[in-house]
Amino acid sequence: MAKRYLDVLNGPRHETAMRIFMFIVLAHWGEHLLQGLQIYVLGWPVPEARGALGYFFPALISSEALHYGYALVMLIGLWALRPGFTETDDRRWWTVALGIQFFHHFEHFLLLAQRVAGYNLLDRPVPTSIAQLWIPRVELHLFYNTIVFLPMVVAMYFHMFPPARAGRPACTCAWDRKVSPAAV
Amino acid sequence: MLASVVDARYRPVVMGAHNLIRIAISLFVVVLVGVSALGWVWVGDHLSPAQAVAGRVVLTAGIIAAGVAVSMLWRWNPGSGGNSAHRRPS
Repeated sequence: MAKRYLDVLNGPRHETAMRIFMFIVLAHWGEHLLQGLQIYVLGWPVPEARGALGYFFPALISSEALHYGYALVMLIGLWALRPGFTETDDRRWWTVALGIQFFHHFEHFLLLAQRVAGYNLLDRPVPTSIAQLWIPRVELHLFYNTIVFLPMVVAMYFHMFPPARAGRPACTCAWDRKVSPAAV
Repeated sequence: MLASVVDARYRPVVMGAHNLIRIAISLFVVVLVGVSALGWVWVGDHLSPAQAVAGRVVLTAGIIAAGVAVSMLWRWNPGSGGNSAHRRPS
């Protein structure tokens, strides 16, 4: 059942799934970029700079569960959509993004676990991830999101414009194959 | 003959889908780099020296990664006249 669902997701529905996934990724980016502008340009104090969602729903953004949930959605999306990347280059870069996101997700898991357990790493006053022991949180997250996003878009570009030698993929993502594989 | 030379020199640039897409991606990456650059300046003024250095290290790494990604996009040439075997989109 799950295998059949994954086959469909990486076949005729790959393009749609990729669009939905990218919408989620870009919406998340919008929040982080807005947060960066609130801090770096508008001079808001870091705890007050919560992007657009957090401006209206502060409790939502301060929730570690929300951050972990997004990291998990990213991880599942990168994993579930990976089989659709059938060429060498697009799969390589998608896998790089998956690997980095795995570590990013692990960092968020640590933060969530500390919040749930009520005990912070090395007795810090707030939940702290490993990299956060050295690097400030806002800049660290800009970095994590950047290094996950960049290989993703490179992979997607390669996937949309596959090499001439490529065989017929199961999905319709390639720009010059905007037809349903089932119709051919 | 002159007409063909002029035609070759002033051949209009064809804005293929691949170029539009990589321009859009590049512009978004420029925004990311811009915010990272703003952060690079901000951490120097608002954080302790150790935190500022750490913040600048990761922001610089992100900016370098952005440069690498954009250069990869533009080196991947799907055009028939390019240096790779990639397909020109119709």
